[in-house]
Amino acid sequence: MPPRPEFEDLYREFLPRIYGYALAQLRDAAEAEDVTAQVFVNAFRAYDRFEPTAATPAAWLFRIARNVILDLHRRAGVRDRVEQEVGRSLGAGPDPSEVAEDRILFAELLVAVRRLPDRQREVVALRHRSDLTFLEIGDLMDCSEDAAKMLYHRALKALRGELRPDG
Amino acid sequence: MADDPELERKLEAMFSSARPRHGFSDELWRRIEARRPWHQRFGRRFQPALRYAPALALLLVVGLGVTWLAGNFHGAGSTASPTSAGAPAFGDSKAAAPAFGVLPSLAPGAARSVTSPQFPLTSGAAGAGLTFGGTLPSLPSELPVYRYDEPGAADLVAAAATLQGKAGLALTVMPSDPATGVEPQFSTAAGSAPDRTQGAAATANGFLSNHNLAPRFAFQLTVAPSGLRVVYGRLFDGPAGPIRQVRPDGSAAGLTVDLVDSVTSTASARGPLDLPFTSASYPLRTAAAALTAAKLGQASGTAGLNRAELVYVLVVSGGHGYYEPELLLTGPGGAVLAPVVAEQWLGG
Repeated sequence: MPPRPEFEDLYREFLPRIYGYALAQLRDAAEAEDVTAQVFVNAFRAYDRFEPTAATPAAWLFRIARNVILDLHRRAGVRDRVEQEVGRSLGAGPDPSEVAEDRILFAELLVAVRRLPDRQREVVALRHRSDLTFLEIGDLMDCSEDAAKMLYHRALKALRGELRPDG
Repeated sequence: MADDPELERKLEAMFSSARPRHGFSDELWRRIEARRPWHQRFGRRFQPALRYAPALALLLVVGLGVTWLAGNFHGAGSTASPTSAGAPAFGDSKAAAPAFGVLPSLAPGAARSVTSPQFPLTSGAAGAGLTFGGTLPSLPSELPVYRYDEPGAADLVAAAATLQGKAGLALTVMPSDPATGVEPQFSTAAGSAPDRTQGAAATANGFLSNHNLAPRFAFQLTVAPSGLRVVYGRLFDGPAGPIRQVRPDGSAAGLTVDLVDSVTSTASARGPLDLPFTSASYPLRTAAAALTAAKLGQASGTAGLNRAELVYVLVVSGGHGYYEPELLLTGPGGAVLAPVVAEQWLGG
């Protein structure tokens, strides 16, 4: 049976990943930090019950993160948030204050990711932050491996259209 | 399916570059560490020394046992240390006194009048003209002040999610309210309550038990005259027995169950969140000095105030909640809260 890693090791490794996952799905960095904090508080409380044979640490943590974000969206009213978010992001362009100067290159890409439909946005964030396979991503999102791959493919297509509007 | 390697590389680079603000990681880790029992906080840095922990623990238990035996054979008048049965059911670490520095005062100035249906106040300024004619208690030389850190928004969200999952009821959580001296609270929607034929107390106990909301602190249970409200008034340990927590308005503080519907047997609950406390000992003034500080005179015979009770009251200030000892003085003339923490450690 694989040993359970030290919680601090898990924390140090996965904090930026969970943060990046949250950042892609929420309004701003402050909200992403709040959610990241909640994820690790919840994980810390549940860590004694974590079984390394039942799930990898990545799958376990990202399931917690997913649930925290889903709860947040349910409370906030997902439809209203998306409408507000789309309305804000259709403005002049990315908010430079949200990213460091040397990362402003990616600001447009982040905005484009945030504008994706919920499940496409989520699969992109999981694909690039969690190191989970499409099989594991599908398990997390309650869909098949093929469905998860299809979601990702459609997300990339939508992003291409967003970033190169002339085709 | 032909994907876009270039776009995927950009996505990878974008996500890899996403980092929270400088210092966030260490700040959050400190918050998480603070939730650990104190004996787990040393972690790997002290692992070699922890080999000796079982032997040290045995020595500590033996030492405590000897101390307890010695204390209990000193005869009448010895002050027992707080018992675990009455201790706050929260993780706490006793800091050197007075570790919290100057404490915030319940209300700057002298006497703090208590206004509640239980304690109708006579006209006039708080304490003015009132005398105390009862027996003043002998106060200990010091008492602990308990403190919690005000939870942030994310903590409140997490607490709500956890409680809701346990209780199976919709509920809300609220931060501290400095104006009313109330700590962070949960409040549930109405849920089913057991058959009320067993009485209000049994019904309330059953409701809390069914929804995993039973208080983890020591309490004194009281039933309102209406029979529709049951209060689990929080108790703190004291050298001469448990000490009640009261609100600044004099009412008992703790968890409340309202039996809201006598026909359908539903109930709701409101109570404090289970926050970790730290504590620090503070020297106390005498009860007589507390009366003087509250601008109250002492007189035998008929007096406006004739009963004195040592209580704890919550003072919320500066991102913390402080449970501070006070004297609750009551009588036909009304009620007053008088400060007992030594003057030099109480903010004016």
